[in-house]
Amino acid sequence: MVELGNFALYLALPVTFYAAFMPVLGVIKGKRQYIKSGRYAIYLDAAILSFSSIALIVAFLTNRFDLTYVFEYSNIAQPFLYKVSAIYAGQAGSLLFWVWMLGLYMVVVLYQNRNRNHDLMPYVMFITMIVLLFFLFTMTIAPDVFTMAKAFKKYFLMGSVFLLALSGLVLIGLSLARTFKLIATERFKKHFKDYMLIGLLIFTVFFFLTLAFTAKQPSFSAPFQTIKQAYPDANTIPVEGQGLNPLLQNYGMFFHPPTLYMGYVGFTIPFAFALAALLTRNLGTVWITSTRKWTLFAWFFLGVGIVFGAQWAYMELGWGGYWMWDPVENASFMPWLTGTAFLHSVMIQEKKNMLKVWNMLLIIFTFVLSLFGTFLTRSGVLSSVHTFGASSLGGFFMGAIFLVLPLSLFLLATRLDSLKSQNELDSLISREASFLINNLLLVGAAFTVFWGTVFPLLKEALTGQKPTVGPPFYNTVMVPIALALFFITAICPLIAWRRATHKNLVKNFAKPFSFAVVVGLALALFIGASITQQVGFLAGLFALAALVIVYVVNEKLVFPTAAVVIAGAAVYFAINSGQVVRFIVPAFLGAVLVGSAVMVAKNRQSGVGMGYMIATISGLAVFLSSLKINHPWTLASLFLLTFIGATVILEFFRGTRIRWQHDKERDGSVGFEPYDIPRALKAFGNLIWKNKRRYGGYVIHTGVVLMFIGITVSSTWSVTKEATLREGESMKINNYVLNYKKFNAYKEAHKEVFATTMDVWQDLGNNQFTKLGEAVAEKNFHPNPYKDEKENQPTTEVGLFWNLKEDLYVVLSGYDSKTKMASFKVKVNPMVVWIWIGGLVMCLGTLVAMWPDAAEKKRMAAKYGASA
Amino acid sequence: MKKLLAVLAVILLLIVPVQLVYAASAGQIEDVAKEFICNCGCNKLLPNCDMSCGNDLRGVIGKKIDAGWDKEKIIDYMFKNYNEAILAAPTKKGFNLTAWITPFAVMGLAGIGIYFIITAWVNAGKKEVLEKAADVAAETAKDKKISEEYQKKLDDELKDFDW
Repeated sequence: MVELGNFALYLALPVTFYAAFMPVLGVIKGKRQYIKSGRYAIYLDAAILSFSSIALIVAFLTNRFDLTYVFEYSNIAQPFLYKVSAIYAGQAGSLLFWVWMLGLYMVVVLYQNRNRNHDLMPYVMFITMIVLLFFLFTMTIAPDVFTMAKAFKKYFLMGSVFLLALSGLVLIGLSLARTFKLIATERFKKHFKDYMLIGLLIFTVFFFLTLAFTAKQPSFSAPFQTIKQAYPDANTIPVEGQGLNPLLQNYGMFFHPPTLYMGYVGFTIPFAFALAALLTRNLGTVWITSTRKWTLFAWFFLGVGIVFGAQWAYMELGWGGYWMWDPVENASFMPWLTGTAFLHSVMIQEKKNMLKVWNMLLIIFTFVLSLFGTFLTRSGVLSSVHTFGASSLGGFFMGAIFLVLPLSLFLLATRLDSLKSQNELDSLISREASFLINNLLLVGAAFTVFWGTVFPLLKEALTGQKPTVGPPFYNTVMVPIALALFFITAICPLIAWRRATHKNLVKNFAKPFSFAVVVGLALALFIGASITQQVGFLAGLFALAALVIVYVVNEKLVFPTAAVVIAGAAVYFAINSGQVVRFIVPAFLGAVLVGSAVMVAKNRQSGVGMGYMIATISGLAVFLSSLKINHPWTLASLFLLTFIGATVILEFFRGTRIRWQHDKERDGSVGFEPYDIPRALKAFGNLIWKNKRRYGGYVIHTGVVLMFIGITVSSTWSVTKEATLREGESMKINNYVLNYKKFNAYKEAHKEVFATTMDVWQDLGNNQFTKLGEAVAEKNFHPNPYKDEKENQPTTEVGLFWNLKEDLYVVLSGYDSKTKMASFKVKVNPMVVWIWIGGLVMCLGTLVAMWPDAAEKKRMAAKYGASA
Repeated sequence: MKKLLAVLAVILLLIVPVQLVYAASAGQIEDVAKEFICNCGCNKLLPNCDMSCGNDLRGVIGKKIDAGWDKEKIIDYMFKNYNEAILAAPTKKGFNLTAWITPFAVMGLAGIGIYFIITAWVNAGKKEVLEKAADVAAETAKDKKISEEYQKKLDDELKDFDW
């Protein structure tokens, strides 16, 4: 079966090639049977790839150590689950998993579109199969092509690059000639598509050849490559494997990589539909409505993968954190951010027929960022905790990015005339405008992560020095962006579509804002050592928010409000600090603010005035943050998260009340029954169920709030204590007392375990203690002569006690097995569990939003026709 | 065999507990150590690395604190001795300043761009509304003119009507 699996993989290559080009040929020649045949080829491809993937799993289960991949990632004692999940432990298997998923996705896509999108589907098939072909190429013939061409590499490479460039230029020339009608002959018009197809074929072939010729060394990416093929000098076949990297031997291995891959691969589908829409000039909303659930699906799995990764890092890396801004973590976060922006901005296209070009750009960049993620993981160009994924394939993925991005953007540029939107807005203060700002912030966040990730490479290229861009950078730069995003998330549902009026803004803002103010004040009092400072800071924050709101409501009131705010701030700082500088700075900023406010008030369109205002608010925020106030960003974050939460609760409350009244009218019942909980719950359930998309979205926002409350609180108030203890000695942290009970060293298959057991007591005061249980913290060594120090680093098993309030996190950081002395690092991490609960709520919301909705389908069909 | 011995040596190094050969407290060391990244390639912040490389570097910091050095001086020392890559974030000087400024500059420019785009779209919307209003007004005026003409005709006919 294993040998057949290898054969199947090679067989998939011509089948995929056929499935890519037959549908397009069918369109050109007007022959439907060609398209049908391409469809069957995709079904066959999915079956072949399933067989090949199962064959690799069987190879792991039957300990086929004659295969390099199995030898490198498994051994006899490896538990069943890790043998199965080892399929994606390394590069070759990950790539196979990638193509397998894409093959299966395409079967679903073909089934979903069996009676619709007949114009788009041939091109969707073409694009997805080209992507699949690329991945198949990297794990099948790429190394062989390289090896064969090694002797004549230089000449082959020159020829290949020349023909690649030539075919590329011909393609661009043909497209330009067509777009600008430079060649107007009937013959050209008639055969244009033939020329393009032939050009694309030549381009694709030479692209892959160029990639193969430029590879530094043959890539060991073939999943079924034998030891003999990889190491021709090897005389024997190993009877035991090297085993899975110990860091990967965690239950997270079963969830984190596949969910991430499912996300990455999933973005191929909306990307393929977008390009198909560009190719066919069918640039309405159909491609978006057809792929909305696929986008949500990919976004969901990418998000779930990220949360699983964070949970894994928390439990396995033993440093008490869950996110370290590692380049590979960043790589998954970037497409998630642009995907989030896309999910929001498509709503504007659906409702207002706007942002067509922007949506195209977003999905192109989301897909390219998915490729970039694979490039970062596989290239090893940046140090990462995921270095076990590095290989020589990075160049191939870089090449793919250089191919996909310019070609997609070029295609988009040639279609700009057909993408003209009805770009009209009724007001600057409208839901539509707030969505644009939301997109700016999400894409800005993605850019910031991208910038931080590539900055070391950029600086190295320019100056020869490679700096590190680690957590302190991201924690500084991303926090203001996140806060702005929280603010816009809070106010967005409160602003009406088209135009927000004075009346509805006041009505919508009053309750959630007041609630957030009360909670914010309570938090300020709770957080701050100096109450005066905290109240002052909070007052400043609210004053700024009030300024924005006043501007929104009536710009003429900005002047007096600004004057009051500045006067108040100046007096406060003068009294509180007694320092002249603290009086001058806000006074100066206030003067600029008042000036800009006047400019804005006089002329609403004054960009200069607005610019001044933004600059001043930023300046004031920087100034406030420089004051020695305890955790100003934490305070701002919790205030804004409360504001979002209050907004969402209000939305649910209002919706439930209306539905309750509606239900009552329908039932004919009279009278107000405020404590009729079953009916209220029924109304609440109906509210969500009758408009899954909208309320599913609000559930996701609730999850985001819970998650970021957990992140904010745990990263601010985490407490760490270290101690070196002898058996029987105790240490205290917060109200926990830990008694070091015993040390235990023993051997298990392929690992040496050094375990410490601590009794954990809770101090109830007045010398009262209650025992919570035992915390077992371990250091495990996995001696492996095949691996170096970094790969052989010990793994940590933390002792963990958790509740909704906090986690007690015990790490064994060192020990002496003779004296049984042990060093412990103990942390109390508050509210970490809310991060995982928030993740679960987000999953729930996404499921609600994705759930089949007959009413929504009808609405869409009525609006966009049967193709929706 | 050599590799195996090397691995065993590393394990032996790792199983020795952290010996505090310096007076600086763990908290003092962590406060400075969080400015650095471990230089063995594990990519962890220095306080989070529990391998021998992390212990060694924290030891260097501990000794410098014992010697009375402040945080800035230790950062300078580490920068000079282990090159720039040991700092967990780029310095805010020279070319590195671009790392800190660029995200906000790009977002600021994009924000201003979006402001102008929204304003232009709002104006386009207003213009269309005004044009529509003008069309409706012209249409109404035209209708009014026609109805006035009919009224006059009716009046004339009524006047001529023989009662």
